[in-house]
Amino acid sequence: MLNHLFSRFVPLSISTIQQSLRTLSFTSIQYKRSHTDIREGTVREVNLHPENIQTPLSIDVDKYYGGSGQVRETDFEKLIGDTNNPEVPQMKYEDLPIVHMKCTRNNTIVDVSDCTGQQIFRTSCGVVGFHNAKKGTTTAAQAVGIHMGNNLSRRNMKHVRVVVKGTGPGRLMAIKGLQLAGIDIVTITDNTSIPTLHVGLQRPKKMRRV
Amino acid sequence: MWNVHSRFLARTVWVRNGEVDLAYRALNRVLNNEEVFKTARLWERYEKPFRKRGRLCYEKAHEIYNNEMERKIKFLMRKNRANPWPWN
Repeated sequence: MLNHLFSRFVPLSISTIQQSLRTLSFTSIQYKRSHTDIREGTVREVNLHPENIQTPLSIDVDKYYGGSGQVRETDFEKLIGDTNNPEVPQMKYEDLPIVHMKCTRNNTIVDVSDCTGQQIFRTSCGVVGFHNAKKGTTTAAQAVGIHMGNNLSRRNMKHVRVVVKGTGPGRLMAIKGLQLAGIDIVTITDNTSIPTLHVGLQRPKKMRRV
Repeated sequence: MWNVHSRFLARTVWVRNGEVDLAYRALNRVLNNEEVFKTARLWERYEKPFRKRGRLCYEKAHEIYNNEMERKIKFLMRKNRANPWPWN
């Protein structure tokens, strides 16, 4: 009986199956819910599977700068270096070393790698001499930046691109510390991890109640 | 090759003339617009469903209030016009 029903017309959603079973009619009018989603405007309207589309930046950074602000694919071949200094050759943007900065609430860890991703050097607030709660401050982050900058200039890596991860007090001051030590920062990127809902998502810890 | 460098396509900003402050501020502006920090803060600790429901209700109500207030202010600002009887 049901096979006969379904062979006549293919229902598009659960509602059409229910309607067809209720009326038991073979007129094959297919009701399509085309106007709105049933959950629109309600409290339970939550997008459980947000799309992972890489959209262009919402603000036109080029306008903000008055020139080219955002990095595009064509910029990877751009040569960066001192035009005056003929001994040191200009490097492509994609061959520059990367400085990763992980800025958490209690600490900032800074780490340098070359263009492929192999780690060269690493510092954190503890290495510079701060302890416990003082590691999660702006002054400690600046000290880390200076320390890292000194080490980089010793290894002759003057041009560098920066990747920042996380929200914390050391986000800006570590970059400023690098600049104080005399390093030329070419770009700043942000790599804060935004967890998306999917099947294997690890549920974070419960809320702190103090 | 592109896999390694794809993270330098989105959320990156050039630094011009050594102005790191300006670049950082531009980047922050974009990220705030896209609510990146807000979501990162929400997912730090688990938000139970009853709290989530309350938060969504509050946000919707807040938005409605703000929109209506903007409309009201726009309407009232129409009073700021030239006096049609300056000789009075």
